[in-house]
Amino acid sequence: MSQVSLRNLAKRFGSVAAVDDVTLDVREGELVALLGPSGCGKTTTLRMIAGFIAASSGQILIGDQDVTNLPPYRRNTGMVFQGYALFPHMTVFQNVAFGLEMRKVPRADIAPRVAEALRLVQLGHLGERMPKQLSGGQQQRVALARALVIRPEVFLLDEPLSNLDAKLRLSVRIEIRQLQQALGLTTVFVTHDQEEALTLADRLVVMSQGKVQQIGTPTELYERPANHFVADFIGRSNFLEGTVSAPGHFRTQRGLDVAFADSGAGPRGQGVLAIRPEKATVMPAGTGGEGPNRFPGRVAFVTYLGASTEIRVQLDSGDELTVTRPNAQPVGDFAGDPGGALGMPVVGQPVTVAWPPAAALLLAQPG
Amino acid sequence: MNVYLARHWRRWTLRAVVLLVYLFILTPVIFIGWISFFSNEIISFPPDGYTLRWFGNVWEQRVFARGFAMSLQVAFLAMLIGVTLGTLASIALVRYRFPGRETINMLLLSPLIVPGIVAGTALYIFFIEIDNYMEWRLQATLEGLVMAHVMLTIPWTVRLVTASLVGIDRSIEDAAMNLGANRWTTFRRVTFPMMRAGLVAAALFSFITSFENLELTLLLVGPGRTTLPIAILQYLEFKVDPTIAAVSFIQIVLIGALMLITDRFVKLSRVV
Repeated sequence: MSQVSLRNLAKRFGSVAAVDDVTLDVREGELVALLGPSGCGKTTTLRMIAGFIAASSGQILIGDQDVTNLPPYRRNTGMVFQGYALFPHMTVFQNVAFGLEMRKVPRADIAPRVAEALRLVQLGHLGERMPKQLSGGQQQRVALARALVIRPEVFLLDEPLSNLDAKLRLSVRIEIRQLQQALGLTTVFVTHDQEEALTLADRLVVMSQGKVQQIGTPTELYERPANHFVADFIGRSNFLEGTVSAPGHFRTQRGLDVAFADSGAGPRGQGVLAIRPEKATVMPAGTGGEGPNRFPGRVAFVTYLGASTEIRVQLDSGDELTVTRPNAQPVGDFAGDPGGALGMPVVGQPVTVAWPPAAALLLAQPG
Repeated sequence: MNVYLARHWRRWTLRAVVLLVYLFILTPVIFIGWISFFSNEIISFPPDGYTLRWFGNVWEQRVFARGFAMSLQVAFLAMLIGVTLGTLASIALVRYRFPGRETINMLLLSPLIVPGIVAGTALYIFFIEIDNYMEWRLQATLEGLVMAHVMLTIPWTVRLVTASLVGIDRSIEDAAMNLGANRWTTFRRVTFPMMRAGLVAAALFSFITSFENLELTLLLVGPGRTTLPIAILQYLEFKVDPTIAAVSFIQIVLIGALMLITDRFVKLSRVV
């Protein structure tokens, strides 16, 4: 049974659709991330679930209840805001207790529940402090405790990590995930950071211009992007434009003949092939065996990234392709070992680029 | 060395300028305080000696006590009404978008720009006309004076409360509603406490503005119904002795005390 259901949800501002026909089911205990560039409608969607923005059309269900027309204070959601939104004139304890007071929880029960929530976020000792006396990370935890203490049916997070520095972000991310799993919270999480989304979420909803582009697990989105936008937004891809010349065969505009694993599902005629940089290989010209999709070219640019090396290759056909190669073996000093197996390729060096047909995904032409 | 000297010079020049400005502002206040203890009736330097009799004279001249009571009454009522109306106006101006919003904002601030004597004359004529048509006497009454002073206090409230409202992060109110507070509870428990500093400052400045106003009030008072500044002015027409200094000194001390007390609850430097 799903805990949150959005049915054809839309929000229009004048003639502009900020959110356009979004349908989504969040299962109980699941963490779903809404991901997309700014202005894609992800925050508007979240604020509609919380009730701060009225839906123009469509339905929002929490549990079995249709909450579409309920004000925020009649929906049992717990939200963590981007800037934490702590009450500046209340102590940490009072902040966390606020939701319980509003729910008319007996006074005697409030203190132990607040204490428990603060212990959960490891702030048990700071109850008497004022928010401005806390660090950003601590304020974040107070916001989490305040949203959790009311035992919400849905936990909503609006870019909760964007105000933290990079190191803290990583540890808070793990903590949020652990809390969410330990408490079995149904969670909707908004972020523009794809790494955050990929590592945190059970499923991702990629949005663009108010529309859902694809819903799926991180693996599904990365390995089987539904369209050009998703392939470009999640990770990186090389895109080759052209036409399907025969089943399983694709001819790029510059005349390259590429074999791809044809499921028959992709578009016919005009299309785009997407190839992930790490799924292709580069080898010195004349080495390696025979096989499909082996193309000669020259190294155009090399970026050493430590764990991997990124090599930009200009194919003889004129197409350009970026390939990342893991530095699994110690990398030799290239000057003394030009083009060697363990060396770095040099600009201008002739090379062969290859990828298995399964690594080339056929997508519809964008927009 | 030269850099050090230049920096040295700059620092001392700054200090000297700051000191001069403070002297310039405070000299009249210091002199008023000093003169109010002079024993000679005709103010002259140096004083022959010092006395407290002018403070006694302030008490004996009943106009001052009556003026003081009147000023207190008017200022308190004008502050109460002005802050209430001004706050409501500020909420509308900050939170809602409607046609004419800018114009209304300008209108509410305009009493700061119009010279008091002009506004006072206009109000005088207006009150007379009202009396003519509606038989409602406002000129030289408490109601009329309070109304006029409400107009004076509104710009202060609008300025100060607007500033404090703009500074409130709306998501804090969203958070309260998310936690189960309805609109009224959200205002009472979250918005209002966050506006408190602005409101206290607005009340203080409204009170002072009304209390010490002279020009606008001049035409709106009548015999036996004067405020303290006008009582002082009328006394001055007949006599120049340190009584005036004494009464001014009392007023300065009272207002200063009021500001100090307020500052203990709300840091005024943060809102003004």
